[in-house]
Amino acid sequence: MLVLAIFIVGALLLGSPRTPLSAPEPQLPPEAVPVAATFSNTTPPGSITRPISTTQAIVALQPISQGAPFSAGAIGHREWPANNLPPNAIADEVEAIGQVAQTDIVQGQVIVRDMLAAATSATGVPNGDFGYGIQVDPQGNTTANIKHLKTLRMNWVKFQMPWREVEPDSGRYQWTDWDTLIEAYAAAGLNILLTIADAPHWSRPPEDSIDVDGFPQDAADYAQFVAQVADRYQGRVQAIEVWEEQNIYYSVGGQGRVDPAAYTDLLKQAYTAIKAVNPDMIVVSGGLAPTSAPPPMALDDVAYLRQLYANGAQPYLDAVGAHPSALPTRRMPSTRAATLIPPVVTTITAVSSFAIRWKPTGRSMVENGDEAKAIWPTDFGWAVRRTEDPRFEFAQENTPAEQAEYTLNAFEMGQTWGWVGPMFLGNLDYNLTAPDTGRANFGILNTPTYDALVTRGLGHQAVADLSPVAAGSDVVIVLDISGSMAAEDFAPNRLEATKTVIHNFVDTYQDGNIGYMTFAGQVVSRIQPTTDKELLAGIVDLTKLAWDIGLDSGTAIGDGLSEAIEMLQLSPANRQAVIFITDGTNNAGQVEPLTAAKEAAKLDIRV
Amino acid sequence: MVGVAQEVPARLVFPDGRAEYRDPEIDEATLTAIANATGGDYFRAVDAAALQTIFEQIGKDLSTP
Repeated sequence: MLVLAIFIVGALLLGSPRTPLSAPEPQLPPEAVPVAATFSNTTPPGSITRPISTTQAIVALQPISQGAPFSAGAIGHREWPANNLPPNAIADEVEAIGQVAQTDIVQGQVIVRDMLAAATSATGVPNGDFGYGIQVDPQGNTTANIKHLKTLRMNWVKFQMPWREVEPDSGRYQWTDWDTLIEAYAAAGLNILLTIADAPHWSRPPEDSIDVDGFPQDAADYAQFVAQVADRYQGRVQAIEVWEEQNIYYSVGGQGRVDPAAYTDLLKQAYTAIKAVNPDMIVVSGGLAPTSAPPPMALDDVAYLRQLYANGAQPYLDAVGAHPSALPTRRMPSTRAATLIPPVVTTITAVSSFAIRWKPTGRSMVENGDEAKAIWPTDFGWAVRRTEDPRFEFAQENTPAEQAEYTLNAFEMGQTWGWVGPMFLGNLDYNLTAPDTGRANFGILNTPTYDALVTRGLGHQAVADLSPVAAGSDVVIVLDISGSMAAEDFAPNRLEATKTVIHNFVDTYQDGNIGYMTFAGQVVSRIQPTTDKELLAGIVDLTKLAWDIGLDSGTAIGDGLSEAIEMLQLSPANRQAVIFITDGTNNAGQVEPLTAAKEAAKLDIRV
Repeated sequence: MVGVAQEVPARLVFPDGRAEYRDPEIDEATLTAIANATGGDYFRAVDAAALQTIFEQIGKDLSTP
């Protein structure tokens, strides 16, 4: 029974669609994602001081696209509040000249070291650099999903490409759908990881169980296929992951077939064939599943990795793939899983579980002299139960709020550690594309996790680094989302009518940065003043009423105004203003409206 | 400061589907006081078109030194 539970976890991690890409496009509900709910930091309003000391920062004088070189005219000095300079900001233009941009850089953004990439890498994406990514269902809504990735400000996307779908018969290929998909995401400036597994039946050894995935009889067939992918998508796909979860029986042809030596051979042949046609393609070893189940079902992931090195895999991988999380991690005395998961796991916090799942992976790399390579978490995430399926009973142990917190923390940890490459959250959209499956438990669309990533995730930090580009006024728009905003005296109601007008304003206002805040009985979400109109307009469109995102429906005018003032505290523009939209009476919060107004007046902020 | 509400009771549909007519609750005295204290203006919109016009006016005010 221990084995069984562990495998359920592994199966969830795999998360592969295993269905043809040519299947009918699922009907998606209309876009409706609430802006951050209970997850905003409610900074207590206090004394507010204007910055007086400034320093010189190196900022982008024009937008710089990912992969573009930093030229002398593209960056320059600008005065910057000394207490708001990112710690890793470069001190001198010389540090950037001759390098290329690691990500898209917005005009006015402070140049930090993480944005620099060596120009020698043709992809501009060295394998050791951190990245911010998510796994997306290739059958999902491409247009909507690209917009979501932009809103999340992620720079990597992962797709699982089933080999058997693209080469259903030996030598006969079906590229069309993949060409369209990859073209769209690459054109949007996203880096792409393709995880390639799922061997076609014609390639499998006769003794294999066809009910599960498995290696081909001849590894050269796989190598030939992945090389075609690497050649076909030159410059558009940045990385290929060779198989996944090959330490569990369902990925390798059945029980008793877990075999690090066989995988090493597959990896060697694939790596050699890929590099022959596309030396810039980053080759990642297949992410190993977290399992302590014994043979013949599985092999512990760290033990497996050690055997890969023992078999001579080191020269044939640019980065080590790992699937470091998703064990149910709260105490679960009432569920079946409680008896099945080792107690040590159930008593530690989710995030430290995440860390201990992959730090040993790093240790075994160090033991083998491979510490210069990054670990790529090609799948991580926490399930929240949304479907009634007894096999996923454990998923109810994570609440939506916990899923959001764990996910934010994991990205932050990965970014901080320095030896982590792109991280791929599983998943964006399975709750829409596969709503009645266990995979749906991992999808983040329309969940607090999505909202938390938009308003507090790593991408949001980049937004906060923006500086003003115009001499006019920086402005924060504050919108009341209390229940009375649903009143229908405006068409279709007060909230929707106001959102449309704010969207228009964001599109047309040219004279400063715009920030955005929503509030009801408390401040609900905040976007720091930014020039990124696309981001702002997208977030305005997503705004929902407080009671539709599970929040109390009071009207805290004083608190809202006080926090809006705080958001303008670091604005170096000449003038600051707040546009405050409400239909109510102050009936919640700590700060009296007129007290906040006096504070604004003191700071010369017009409301 | 921008107030959004008509002068007459407005239909409000609750999450449970129940609907009722509610009088405006807007506290114009406080909103006007905030605007006056900070050198801003108080605007009242009674429909979407008026709100659009108000935002265009605010945009102009912010862009003019």
